[in-house]
Amino acid sequence: MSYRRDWHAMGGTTASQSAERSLALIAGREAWSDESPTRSAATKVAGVLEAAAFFTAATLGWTYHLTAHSRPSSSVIVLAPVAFSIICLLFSVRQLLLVLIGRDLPFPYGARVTVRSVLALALITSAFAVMPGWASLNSWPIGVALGADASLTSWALGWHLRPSRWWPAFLVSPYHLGAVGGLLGAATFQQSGSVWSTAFPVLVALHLWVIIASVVAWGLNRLNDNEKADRERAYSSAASIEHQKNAHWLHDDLCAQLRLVSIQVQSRSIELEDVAQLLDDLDHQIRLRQLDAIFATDTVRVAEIIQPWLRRAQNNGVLIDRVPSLDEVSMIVSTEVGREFSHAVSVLTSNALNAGATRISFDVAQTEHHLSIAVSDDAGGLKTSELPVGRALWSLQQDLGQDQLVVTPTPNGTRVQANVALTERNHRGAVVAR
Amino acid sequence: MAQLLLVDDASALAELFALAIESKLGHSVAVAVALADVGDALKKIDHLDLAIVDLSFPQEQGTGLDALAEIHLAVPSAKLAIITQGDLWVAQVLRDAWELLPIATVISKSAPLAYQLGAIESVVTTGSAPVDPAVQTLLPARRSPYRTLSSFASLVHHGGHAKLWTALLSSNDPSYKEIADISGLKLNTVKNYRAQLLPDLVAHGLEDPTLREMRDFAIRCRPFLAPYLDVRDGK
Repeated sequence: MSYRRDWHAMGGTTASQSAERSLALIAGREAWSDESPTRSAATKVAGVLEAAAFFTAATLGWTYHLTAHSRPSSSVIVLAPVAFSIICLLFSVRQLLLVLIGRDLPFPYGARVTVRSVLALALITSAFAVMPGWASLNSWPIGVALGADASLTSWALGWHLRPSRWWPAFLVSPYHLGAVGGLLGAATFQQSGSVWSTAFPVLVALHLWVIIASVVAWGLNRLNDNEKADRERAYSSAASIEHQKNAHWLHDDLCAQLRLVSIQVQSRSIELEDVAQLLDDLDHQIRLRQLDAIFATDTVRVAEIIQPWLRRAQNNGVLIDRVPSLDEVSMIVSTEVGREFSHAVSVLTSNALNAGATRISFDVAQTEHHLSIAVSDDAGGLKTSELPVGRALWSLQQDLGQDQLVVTPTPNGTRVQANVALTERNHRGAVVAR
Repeated sequence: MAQLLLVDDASALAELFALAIESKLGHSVAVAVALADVGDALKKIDHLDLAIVDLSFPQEQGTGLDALAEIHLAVPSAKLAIITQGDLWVAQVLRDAWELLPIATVISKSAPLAYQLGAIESVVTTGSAPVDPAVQTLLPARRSPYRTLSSFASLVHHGGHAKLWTALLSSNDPSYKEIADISGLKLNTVKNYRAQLLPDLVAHGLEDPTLREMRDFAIRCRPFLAPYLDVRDGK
């Protein structure tokens, strides 16, 4: 391990690392969040808090400006409240949009650092111009915003912040020592009264910002840590329930079925072909169980739904002429649509197998409103009007709607197409195959 | 009589399947039940006509992709076939293998034995066999012409990229901070390197991937990426 890595492992920071961290924080959360937008409660709270803090800072700035007894005469100073408000509202609205929409404009890193640095500098300058002297303490919401912003950025980066070290670090930082030195120099060589009434309050306000930012970051990090712990407990609990379900299924269904085959083989009451059939049935049950587990994840890929039925047909000795490729079945649908689609595939495949098909083709298509499965076989003709009442195909027609089960005669058999509705609520749309 | 190599961690099943191939098709079959055994198995046989490789090795670090790559590198003339359960667990690895290597066929483990043997015989005699319909839905209709073994070279332009991939490969929960710590790169450098690689990752189906997705891709495709990492790192 190099010296640099040793130093890092000890928790120390070099000057370049410190500068790098500062730049990373200045760049902001969106420079580092290549993950999909985070919707955690802590992130939302931090975002809303930052937006509210900037809005409050602008309000306090204007309140002070409008009620102050003495008004500045310089035109630059007169524009300060406007600049201060615009910057605050810019940060505030942008942060609210991030909370609501989740994504920022794709600015390059350098542009982000530059723009945010300029805005931060303008914010600080205009804040002290709007609220000079001891009135600068009214700018305390900026400390809240800084704490929230640093928290959001550190979470995106994967940093664990240590806010308790911020104020001591600020005390010994070159910026602070330089400011204190300048202040003392000015007090020594100029009239101390004006220094203590103008420059000293600014220094106090900066301390206030750092302390408030530390407290806010500490609170938000606690919230984030607690949320993570709660989430892990929930995952752990869900996993435990799932393990119990699996154990129950293994014991009750799988072992019982295997035991049945074992007893039949031991008692010689079954032919080898029947053993193979029983085991194939068991394999199919396991695949359906696997599919059920995928349904429990909330979304499912169409390819995964039809796969057990392809295997089922294949194990029944049927020749499969055509199946859709990944490009045609890569779309992801909600569990609700998936279950309906799975039911349709099950009924159509079983119907073809029961009719004595020796060749089967599967086709999948998606339109704006429907996801369709069509099964073509060589097992003779069938008409919609001939569907036996109460049987699976008839029930499927009732479930889907009269027009959504289309039976078409083919030269050797029948093509049955089932159209499953994709409603606004349950349609997740198609996704790229990978 | 052809010489076959069967690579599958389900040892009992592999032995039984090898026996079926030998007795029904008359070919000679060597069996490797671990990824680490593939090299030794290749040394023991004087030539190889067809390798049949399972994709899932849950007890090991790698996947069947590692074995396929090793066999292809050692015996480029050998035909490659995949035998797999073909479920969600291996879907991505299957697609990688299909797109990156000259896979002659894919056989489903759940297909009837006669069907499996028919596919193997077809590959031995004609060089290929149709993909098993049960796993067809996991494969694209056409192989991407942009996704090749040489396309991995463009994922490692220089030593910095090699550091990034190496850090990703050893990261458990990749974040910019963790990757910077592991690689010794600066945070912004990690960000820049990732941005530089984005256009080349599109060929591999990764559209603006997260660091986690890049890590998963690197782990999956390690056998194809690793040679370029070693070269760029100067090893």
